[in-house]
Amino acid sequence: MNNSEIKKILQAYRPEIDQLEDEKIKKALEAAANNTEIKAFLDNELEFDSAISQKLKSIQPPADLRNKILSIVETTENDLSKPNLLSGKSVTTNNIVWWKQAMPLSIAACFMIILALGVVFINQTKINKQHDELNLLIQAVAENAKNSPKLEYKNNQLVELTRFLNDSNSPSPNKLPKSIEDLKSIGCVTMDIKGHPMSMICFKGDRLYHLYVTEQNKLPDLNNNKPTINNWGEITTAAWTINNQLYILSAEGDSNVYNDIL
Amino acid sequence: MTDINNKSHNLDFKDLVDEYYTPLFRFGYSLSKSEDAAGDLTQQTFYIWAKKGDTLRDASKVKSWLFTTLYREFLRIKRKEGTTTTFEPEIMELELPVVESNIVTVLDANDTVKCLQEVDEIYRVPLTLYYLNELAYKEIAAALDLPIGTVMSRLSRGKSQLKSIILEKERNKNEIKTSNL
Repeated sequence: MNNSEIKKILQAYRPEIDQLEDEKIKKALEAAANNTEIKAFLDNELEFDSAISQKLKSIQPPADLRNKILSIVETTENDLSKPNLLSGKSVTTNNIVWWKQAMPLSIAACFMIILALGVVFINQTKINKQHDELNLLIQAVAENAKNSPKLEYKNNQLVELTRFLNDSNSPSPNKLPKSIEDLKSIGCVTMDIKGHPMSMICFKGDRLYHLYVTEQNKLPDLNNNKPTINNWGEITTAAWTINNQLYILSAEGDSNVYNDIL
Repeated sequence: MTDINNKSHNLDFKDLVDEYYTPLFRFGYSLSKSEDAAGDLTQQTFYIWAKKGDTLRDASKVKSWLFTTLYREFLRIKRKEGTTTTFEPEIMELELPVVESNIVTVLDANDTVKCLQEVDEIYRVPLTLYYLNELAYKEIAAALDLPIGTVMSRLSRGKSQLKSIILEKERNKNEIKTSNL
């Protein structure tokens, strides 16, 4: 390092601030210790710096500045948009994009909550309505079964009955419990109950069983592991859904009527 | 002076204000040349801290963060006003003027700050931080997002300008005194 470079380094050196482990400063100070001209330069710089620092540090902030700053915390916590500066200007929301501002965010949050509650309410209403419709349908099926509908096509082979229903573009069972498949089939009929195209297959076991099948469409899901049992006086129904089809089995008797087949 | 570096991450806002609002105001005053603007800059800096300070994980960086934030706010306002200085004036490497420290001693604080405020902004910013004695020159470099070598050069040139301005003022004063005799 030449003297000019050394002086440049020493110009930026403050004994109480800048660290001596800095290699450049270390070397410059060593040079100053061995060179009277550089030493004089350093002494003069340090005196000058000290005098300027003292003058700068004698500048005092306005008496109320501290309290104004401390009120920022409350302002920040309470209302980001309140002006609180010496100049009276608001510094808070101008640079904050609208979706980050407290008020629009709150409104948006409230709107979302209302919307969510609305959706839940509408969904719940819809679900309730669908369940009501299903219950009415099951009840209508029970009524139909009680009147022993006339069979349209008679055959002891379930596969033949299914083929008939398919050919008639009527719902046919896709999946049946083995216990029902094992029952003796008698015949089938197609009909419309409460606007739902439906097929009925009549089985003979220890009593007559009427199995109604329809496409589930907008009807709600039912637990297909455990059929929904309803008693309608003389008639008891067992309903379940599987593969987008609704099955309603109807038989005379109480809920025990299905103990052996479901 | 409390050593902020040893404080826990859970910095108390009041302690932070007590520790730094004065040097920040001085820095803002030197930058803006206005007491009101310096107050606004200081408040805005702490306001930003109140909002975003908890994202600063390293407590040892708080001091630099505050000075950097104030400086950036100053630049932001200047940009808005369209008065940003983006060029570094050509300066010939002259022999440094020698200013006796007793000349500075007789200047009052306002005169000294006025002299400092006459230094080109590009040099005045690191020079003010240097004289506030709050940040090491490496921290000044980090705060201003400048290489250390650039900060050293600007300090050197800034000091040179400051000395020239002080000498010029002193000369003018003496001339006025002489003409009044």
